[in-house]
Amino acid sequence: MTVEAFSPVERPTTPRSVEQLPEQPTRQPEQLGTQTAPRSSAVQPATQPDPRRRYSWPADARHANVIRDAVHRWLGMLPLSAHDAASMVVAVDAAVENVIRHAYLDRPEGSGTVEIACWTENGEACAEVIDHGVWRAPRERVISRGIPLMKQLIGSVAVETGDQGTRVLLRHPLDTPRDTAPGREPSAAE
Amino acid sequence: MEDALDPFEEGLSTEVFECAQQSAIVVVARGELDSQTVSELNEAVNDALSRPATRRVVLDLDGIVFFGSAGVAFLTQAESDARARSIELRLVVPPTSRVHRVLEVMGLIRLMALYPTRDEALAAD
Repeated sequence: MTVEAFSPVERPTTPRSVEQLPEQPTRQPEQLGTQTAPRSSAVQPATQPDPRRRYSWPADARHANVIRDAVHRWLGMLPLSAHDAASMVVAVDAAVENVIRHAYLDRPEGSGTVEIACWTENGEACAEVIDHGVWRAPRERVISRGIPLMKQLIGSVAVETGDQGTRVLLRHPLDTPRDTAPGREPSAAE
Repeated sequence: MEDALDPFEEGLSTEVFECAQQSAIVVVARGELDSQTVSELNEAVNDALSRPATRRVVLDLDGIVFFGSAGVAFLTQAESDARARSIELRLVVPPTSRVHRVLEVMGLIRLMALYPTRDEALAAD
């Protein structure tokens, strides 16, 4: 795990993204309008963006599309086919949906948070979906609804639960130069 | 590479109409089908399934740009509801679409009546 452990975060009342990158201004989700390289091109070359991101959102279904959009843009910076990126987005969405529906049953709706840490490691795109809710026995059955879909779509899925909440780590191999050889679907497909 | 990623549309829109010739109710869904929007489509489909004369419902998902676990759960339930009422549920799902991909990996393709276009779903016997 190359990402440092999460420290407790304030409960946001509006969507926001949390950037770990130094010398980069925190970007608000509504400003993340395009799929082009990060606006930090003056700081970092646009061709080599630092692919680490860390987000925190209210655990509210109304933000599901904005969360997907943020993850989608992050994936757009990586050497990943559109097909694989779309699969990763569906997997993250399934994990987020579980948080929204089941993690904070003991709290007022929308008062919990869902955090997503995104990074690359060992040739894989990694997205960890984290909540600070209470794991209960009934939830174990419900959460399983999204797990099969995640496992079918992406490279690996690991669920870790504890007193501090639940972490779902989603990993998918990045394209390698070898993968772009003839015979593999072109990344520009779809 | 980024150019290959279409921006997500926001929200879901539904359209319902009767196709008298084929005695079918057509439900067209466009946009993002997720945990937030699924209730809207669920309502439209349940309404179609609840009409006394309904024999066939064509659910057109060609315009769906996002389809995930909420969509899988919804379709599984709709299929079950339709079968319980002896109503034929036909899904318009192009073979190259993301909806098709998700249903495929979940092993649901063979359990559902899929058609590549709305015309084919309406024309088939």
